[in-house]
Amino acid sequence: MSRGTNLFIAFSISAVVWVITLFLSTGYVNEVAKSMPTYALILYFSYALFKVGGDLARLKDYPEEAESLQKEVQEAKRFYQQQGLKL
Amino acid sequence: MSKYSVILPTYNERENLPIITYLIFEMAKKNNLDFEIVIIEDNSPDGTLQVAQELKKVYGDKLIIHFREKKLGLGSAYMDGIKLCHGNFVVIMDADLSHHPKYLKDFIEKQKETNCDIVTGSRYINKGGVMNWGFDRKLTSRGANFLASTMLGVKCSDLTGSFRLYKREVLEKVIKDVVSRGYAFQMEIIIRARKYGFTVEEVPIVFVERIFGESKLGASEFQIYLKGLWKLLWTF
Repeated sequence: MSRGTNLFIAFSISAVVWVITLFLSTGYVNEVAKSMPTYALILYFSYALFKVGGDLARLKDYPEEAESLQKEVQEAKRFYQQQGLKL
Repeated sequence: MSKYSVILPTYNERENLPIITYLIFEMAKKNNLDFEIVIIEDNSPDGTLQVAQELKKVYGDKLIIHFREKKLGLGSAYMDGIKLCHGNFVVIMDADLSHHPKYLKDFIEKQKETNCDIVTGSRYINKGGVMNWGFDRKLTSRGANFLASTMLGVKCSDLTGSFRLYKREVLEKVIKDVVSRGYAFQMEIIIRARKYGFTVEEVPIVFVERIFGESKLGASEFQIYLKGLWKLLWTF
């Protein structure tokens, strides 16, 4: 089974359980059950924010790499000039 | 002794091609490695083919040029390239200097140390990084990788990366079944490789945004990526 199918089945089972809980529960449990989908979405987006935000904060810039590459470009050009190539 | 073949698909890379070729062969000479380059040239209007032919005067048989009448995409470029390779290892990388050949030494060391089937360069692990990326590009890239890893359930820090070393027979086996385009193409290779039981190791790289020429990235790339991701969800 594909990942998509697995996710669809998991989602469908969760949806059925949620609907049954909604109809059969009363009082506080019913109140909590009504909020579960919203809570699940908030949880996922919070996790995404935390994960992507953390990864962004850790993603480093390396200006020295760009400088060193520029020097290597000049080195390569000198090499080809010595070889007599017209590029 | 192992032989390494680099497949370089090119389109409008007349300025970058001589530089990347020089850097690859200098790295190989410095580390006593046997390298060749296979250029897949898709009839660039800027004269990249003529530049490649000039380079052949310097590098001889170590530089193989394969000309194609029109732009046919990365997947077919790799498939055509593999047929012309003599190496038992194949490197795929970009020709625009965003992938620096100096990391190939690290790739090779990692492969020898672990005997893995694929080594992939990652911008997102310790000592990896980027240069000349704006915040929006960083956000798009991290967001895209996050989306792919949660939707597909694949553990790989840089799924969309395209700087990789493969055992030749591994790339030959995996690539013929790949159906995606664009960034999803690179993701699909890793997913298929894992499904076949091939091992993947990561090495940190610094990705420097291109300094010559025009980027081929556009708004439509993200749309193609999302479509590709959706398709992969129902393939594996």
